[in-house]
Amino acid sequence: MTEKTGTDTTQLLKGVLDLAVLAVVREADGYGYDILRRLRDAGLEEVGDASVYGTLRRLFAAGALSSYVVPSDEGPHRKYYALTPSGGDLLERGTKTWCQFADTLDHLVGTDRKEAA
Amino acid sequence: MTTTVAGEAARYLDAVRTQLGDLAADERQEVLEDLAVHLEEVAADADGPLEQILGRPEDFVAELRASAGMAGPGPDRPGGGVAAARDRLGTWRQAAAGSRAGRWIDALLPELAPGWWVLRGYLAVLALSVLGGEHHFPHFPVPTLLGSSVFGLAAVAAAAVASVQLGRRHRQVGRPWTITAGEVLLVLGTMIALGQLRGAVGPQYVFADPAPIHSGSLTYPDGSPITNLFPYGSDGRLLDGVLLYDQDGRPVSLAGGEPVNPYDDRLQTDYRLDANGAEVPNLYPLDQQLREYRYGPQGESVVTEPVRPPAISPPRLAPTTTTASPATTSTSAAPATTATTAPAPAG
Repeated sequence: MTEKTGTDTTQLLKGVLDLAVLAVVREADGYGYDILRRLRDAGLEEVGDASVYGTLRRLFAAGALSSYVVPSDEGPHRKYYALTPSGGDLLERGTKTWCQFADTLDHLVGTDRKEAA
Repeated sequence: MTTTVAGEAARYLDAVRTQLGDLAADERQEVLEDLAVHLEEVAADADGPLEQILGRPEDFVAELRASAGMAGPGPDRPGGGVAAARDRLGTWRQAAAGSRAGRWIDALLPELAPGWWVLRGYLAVLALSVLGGEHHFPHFPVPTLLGSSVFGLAAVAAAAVASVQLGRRHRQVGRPWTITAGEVLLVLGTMIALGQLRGAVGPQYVFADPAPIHSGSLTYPDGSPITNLFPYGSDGRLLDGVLLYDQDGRPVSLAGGEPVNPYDDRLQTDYRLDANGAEVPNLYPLDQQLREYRYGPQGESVVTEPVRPPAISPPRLAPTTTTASPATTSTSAAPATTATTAPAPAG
């Protein structure tokens, strides 16, 4: 049952991971592992390393994110990602779409639940 | 950006690299550089094996491709055959790496890599030396470069450092297939070259004709030849025209045997002739000349030197004493002819 729920979450995540990543980066610039942890800390525990890393690459290639390297004395140099203006626009549009979609689904699920009860 | 990746993260990165074989080199390098940092951090925080956290490398790459919008490897892509073969090889490697022995070897190989980097630097200089036409290695295994072992040693040191640098770089970004091909060629070439070099290592020996200058048959017990006889009187003067005979009355000749080296004509002997014009082989000293062949800018020249008598210092003899000899007494000669001399006073 737990596995089934997990799979469902993973499927849902695929559609909204761009939005989630953009939202996390809007809070603060971050490097790959840091962004991944912040997503998980926010409750998206099922998110995969490869998915986040691939999403970052794609958003960067699309111009929604910029990157810069921060040298580190202790460990490896880290590539930080920051939101670009076009990334900000994308996040804004994505948020509107998500809210409408969530409202629709809430309504739908709520209706279904009433009918089921 | 460079990152040193070691241990499990390096092995996982290797497997990912194999799965990304179809990407352009620069794109793959960029992906792997970023992932190297990521894997290091994940491995540092991990409680268990990386595969348990990240999934199998092939699944990881599939997820990465899907989320990044990268095309997957396909047979219609240029070079797809090679990449597919590499994928199969990668899968096989992962299967082998799963076994106990595979894990042991997999853990050992990264440890051995720096040694191989140094060795391949050395082999590269050796190859350069052989290709450069060097045929002689007096201080093997130090290769000779530009005719000098010192240059060779300096080149080995430089090549080893460069090779280690290259190895460290390729550990992070993956090595191009050309490096692997070059290493295979280097090892094959070394095996062939070593077979041919066996006679070229160590001190160089110049062939010398071991045959002594001798055309006669008399030798000392150690085999050294007697080429002439110089009779001296007890007063230390060289005698000339001495005929020598052995105990049976046969002429003692130095020219009786087979020449040791029939091609050796350095020693020339001019025999005196008897009244009938025949050579007298036992008349000493023999009249001999030593010929020396010289090769110079003007070509070949022959220098002839007469063989001179050796410088000797004859022994000072004790005064002559004659005693009765058993041989004389046993003959039929009259006892009256036996000479008797008083013994010399002692002291």
